[in-house]
Amino acid sequence: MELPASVTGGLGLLGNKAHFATPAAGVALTKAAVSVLLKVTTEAEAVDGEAALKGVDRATLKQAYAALVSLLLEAAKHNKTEADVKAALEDAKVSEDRAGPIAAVYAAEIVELRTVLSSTGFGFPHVVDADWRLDYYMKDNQLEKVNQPVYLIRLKTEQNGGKGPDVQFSASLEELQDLVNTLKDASRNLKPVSI
Amino acid sequence: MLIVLTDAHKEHLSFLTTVDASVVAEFANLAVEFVRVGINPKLYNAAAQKLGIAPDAIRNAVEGLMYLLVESAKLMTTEIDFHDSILTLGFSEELRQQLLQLYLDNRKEIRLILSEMTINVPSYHNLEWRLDVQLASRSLRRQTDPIVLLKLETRTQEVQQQFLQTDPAGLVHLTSVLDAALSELKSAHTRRILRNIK
Repeated sequence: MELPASVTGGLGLLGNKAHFATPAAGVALTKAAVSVLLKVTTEAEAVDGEAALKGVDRATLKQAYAALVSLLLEAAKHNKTEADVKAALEDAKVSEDRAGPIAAVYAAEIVELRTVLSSTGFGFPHVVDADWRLDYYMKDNQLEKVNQPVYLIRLKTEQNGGKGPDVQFSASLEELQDLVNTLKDASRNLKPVSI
Repeated sequence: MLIVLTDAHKEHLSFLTTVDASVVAEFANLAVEFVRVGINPKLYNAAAQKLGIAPDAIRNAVEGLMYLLVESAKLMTTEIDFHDSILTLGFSEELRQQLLQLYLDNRKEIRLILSEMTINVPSYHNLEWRLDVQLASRSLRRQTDPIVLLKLETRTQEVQQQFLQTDPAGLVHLTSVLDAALSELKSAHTRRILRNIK
């Protein structure tokens, strides 16, 4: 993994006994960084509430934290393994007994981290569900005895992790039949490639 | 259902009894044409000069015919009801048959024109789909996310395009929900209502 010097420098602090007295402090900081990335807590809560980090100098803590966040995101982005992360930490002069547990925290959360990263993507409104209603169109102010069934359809969508715009339209029996046939055709054609 | 004609309307139409059958046919064609494309007052004056009749009388007769046709088409009047409705106007049997034929020939088209004037909600027009697999993004590499891209076309006055996407599971779900909607039309309840509303 290619990491800039500022990141390796920050990671190196985790291996320095003068700053982080015990391996547990490094692990605690990694867990704090992961929970912030997964939007479980805020930085203030995660770092200040951690007893193992009480004795660490604030500026050092900040630098190491920033470096860890960069490492975690870069590793998750490229779907790196636990061994890759451990190697990157060792390259930054973190001893094996400290690098191992940090890499293990990463390995436990890789799936969650990638889910968060995928949600930062963008796309067209994602159809998640459909509502429908069946009406019988009898007459209106211009025309009597119309007497046709009419479907009203609303497609519910999601976009950027939130609710997207609803898509609403009507369809006659023939039109809905055409729509369903097209969708069935698409579903059938998808099956052989489903992963 | 019989068509109710006002006295003024009857009077306007009675003008048709005073002219030749060929002129009536001319007026009838004019009425149908005007329902289609709108009234053109210039033609009244031209016809008035040709026949030596007041333009107002011609206008009343043609527009009276238009009203008769539109009202009958709107109510989906049956052949017999249409015939009986114009019985009181003092037309000859020949003229009545002529008008009836005119009504039957144009009923479908007039209803189509009327249906375009009603409330227009976006209606389904077409759907195109495309299967993509998302491989990487700026923030995430090494993905294999299948995406079904959908181009939905709906129509109010003009065709509108909307782009949507879903995943294979979403597509299967969507298909089954809308398929269930279709089969509702075959349910006993729906069929009973459809049969009984005439």
